[in-house]
Amino acid sequence: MKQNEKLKLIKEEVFEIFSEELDVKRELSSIDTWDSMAALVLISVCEEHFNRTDLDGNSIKNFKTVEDILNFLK
Amino acid sequence: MIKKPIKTYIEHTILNKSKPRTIILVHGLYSSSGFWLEYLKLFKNYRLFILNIDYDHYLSEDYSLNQLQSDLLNLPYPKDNSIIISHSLGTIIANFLSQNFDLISNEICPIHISERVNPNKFIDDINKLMGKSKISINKKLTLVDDFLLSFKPIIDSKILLYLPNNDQYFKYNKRFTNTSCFSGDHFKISEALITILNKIK
Repeated sequence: MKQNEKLKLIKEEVFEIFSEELDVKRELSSIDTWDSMAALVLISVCEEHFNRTDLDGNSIKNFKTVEDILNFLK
Repeated sequence: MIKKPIKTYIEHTILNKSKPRTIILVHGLYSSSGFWLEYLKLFKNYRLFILNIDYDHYLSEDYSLNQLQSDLLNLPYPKDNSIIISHSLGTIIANFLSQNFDLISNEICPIHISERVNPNKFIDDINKLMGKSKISINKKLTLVDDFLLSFKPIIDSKILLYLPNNDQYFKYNKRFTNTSCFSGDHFKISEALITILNKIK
């Protein structure tokens, strides 16, 4: 999956942002919809779309920006 | 698609899809499915069907109990022999699902066998933690009482109750035989989860 496709997937499924762009440098703490429930959905997206089962609550705490998530998915 | 742009009042997320056995997780009031995030490591050997319930919607003054029950019954639950683990107000939901789907229900901090011991502290703490107004919290607690009366939870052999030894908000009725105590409080429940997971191995 291309980087922009990954970003679109994360933007819509995790952050539920449908109508605006999402800067990869944006801090997660500045996104209203980023909460523990969104983190749970992120784990689900990683498993379902990227076959990654190595993401848990602790590692998510290290993510500061949207780019950190995309880097994890590289 | 995991989350939908159209607002729904009960969502579900599935994790660890490759695992054969499913646990259904039900969170409590003033919480969300994210409540389980810090406990996910404990559940690594199980498929998880995690409910996210918008209690605010169902506890509004014009809420429809029938609508909540109908929404709960219409979710695409797994067909395997799942077990349910629930917390606080979620134990009412789990109890209802257990009755309807003949499932074992592990209920942690089951408020349906409790009484509030320090409601003002609860209201103060939620006010500080969530920024909700004290009036709205108080109102919600009244609606929770109606909710409890309407759901009529039962205690039978499929219901296992886990009571914390240090809950500052609730006092539990310990007369039921299927109860276990655990070291923790209303929000620190890892010991109860470990006990449950050891039992179902």
